[in-house]
Amino acid sequence: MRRPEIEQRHAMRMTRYARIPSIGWIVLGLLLFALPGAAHAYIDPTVGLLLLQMLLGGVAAVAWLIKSYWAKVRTFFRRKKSDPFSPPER
Amino acid sequence: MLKQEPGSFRDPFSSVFLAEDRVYRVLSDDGAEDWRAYMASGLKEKLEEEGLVVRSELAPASDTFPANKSNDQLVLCHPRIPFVSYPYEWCFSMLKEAATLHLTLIARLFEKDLILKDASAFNVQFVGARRVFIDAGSVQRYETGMPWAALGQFCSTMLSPLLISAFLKIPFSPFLRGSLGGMDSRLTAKIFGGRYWWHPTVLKYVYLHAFLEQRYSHPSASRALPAALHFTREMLHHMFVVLARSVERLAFRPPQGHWAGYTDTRAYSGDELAAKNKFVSGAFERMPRRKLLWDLGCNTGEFSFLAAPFFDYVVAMDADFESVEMLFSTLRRNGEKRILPLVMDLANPSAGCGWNNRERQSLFARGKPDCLLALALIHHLRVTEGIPLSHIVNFISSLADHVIVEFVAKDDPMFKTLAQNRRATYDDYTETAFRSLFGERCRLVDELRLTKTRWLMFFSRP
Repeated sequence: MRRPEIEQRHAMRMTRYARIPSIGWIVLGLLLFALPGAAHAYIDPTVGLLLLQMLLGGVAAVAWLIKSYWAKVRTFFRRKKSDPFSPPER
Repeated sequence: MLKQEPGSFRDPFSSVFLAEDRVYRVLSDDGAEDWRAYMASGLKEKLEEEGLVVRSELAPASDTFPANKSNDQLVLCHPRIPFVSYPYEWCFSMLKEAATLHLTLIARLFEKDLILKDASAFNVQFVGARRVFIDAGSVQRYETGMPWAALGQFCSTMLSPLLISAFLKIPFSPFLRGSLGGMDSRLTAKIFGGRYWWHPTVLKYVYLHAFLEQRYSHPSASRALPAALHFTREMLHHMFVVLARSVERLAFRPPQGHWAGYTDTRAYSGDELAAKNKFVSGAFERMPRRKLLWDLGCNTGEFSFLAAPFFDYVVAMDADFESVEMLFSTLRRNGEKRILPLVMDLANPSAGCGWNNRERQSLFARGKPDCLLALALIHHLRVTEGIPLSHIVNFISSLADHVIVEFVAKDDPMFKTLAQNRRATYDDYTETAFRSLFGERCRLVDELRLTKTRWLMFFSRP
């Protein structure tokens, strides 16, 4: 049996994740319903391959997202250090 | 004389016809729409200029083309490739270039909302050592939300063969020759057998791929699922980026090759080598027609380089995967466009295969050489392959009008090395027998005794 405070903490954690911006489009991408099947194709990927692409594409996109955020964080701190026009710290 | 290319029938949107000096591609209405989108993107000219895609233009109205006349279909024409080759005749770097070319094209096309509808290694050809993408009909408009339909084909015809060669040092040719569709993910996973599971590329494209294919292999496996998946552009883009990086890192590092070191350890003095070069060049000069030369048993291609200035095109063949790899990297450095290196076992040359045995042509159906160079090859066929001398002479003399052969006698050190530990006596293999067998079919134009145990002979058919 779960205690209510754990439930509450769990819910809080969920909302915190949900608030991270730009993860949204990946989640949306994963869940959105697609257009009807392609009209002009002559190679059909197997279900296994569709899932593989979904996983690899998803993972690659998330990795790129994390990287670019990390790069942003780094440039933010670097600029702070080296920017001659920033006010001196007290 | 126009005939349909027997290997082009799967794609209903573009079919290929061969004429003497050019290739025609007839597009369906859908295919023509894709073509217009490709033209409008401005990429066509760029990719052709960079030599990535074969040149194509609208067939001139003056060309008598039946399919064009009956209805208003769009017809493109391309130049012909000097000598067609197939992935099972390529060395590692050639297949890797084919894979890299596909990923480069996809990266460029995807920016303009285009994509390749298929990804078969057969869509790449080589002009000398320069790769070129020949299926201009493969460019398609990308439909938002759709996956890349050809990922499976890319994996089975290019990525998996490269992976088994790069990681396990297994030549891929037998697998690609055995199955034109390439290597199934489950076969690749079995070959890997749990090894290199920690390597991201192997983990993703071998084990995970095979697991998912296995898990959802049953026809009833959730057919609703594909329609419920939506692929964003970003997902595909990043998948392509990561895949391109993974392929770029693959390398084939064989242990020191068997034949690759042969050139250095050969039993010739500098003078003898110079005499050999002079004899061979002299023979080339005496040939009236010099379009195509086959260098059989080319090793690292020393004599192909010697022949290149004399001929329009040289096809250099050797059964040794590593020698061809070395030759290809030399050619790539030189930017040579007249020598095509191929992995070819003459005791088992490429046969016609695929649908109706005509989808992929046999080696001999792809062009008749004017001259054949078979230097220090015959004793290999006799000893290693166990082919009687009369069969060998029959085979070689029937291929071309002019033949330059080097005969290595039984008491030559190289012959002895080959024949040691073999109980056969090779009684049919003598210089006299060789001369008389060739003499029945050809005329001996010139000869040179290189050493006590080696002769160079130049035969021509009357």
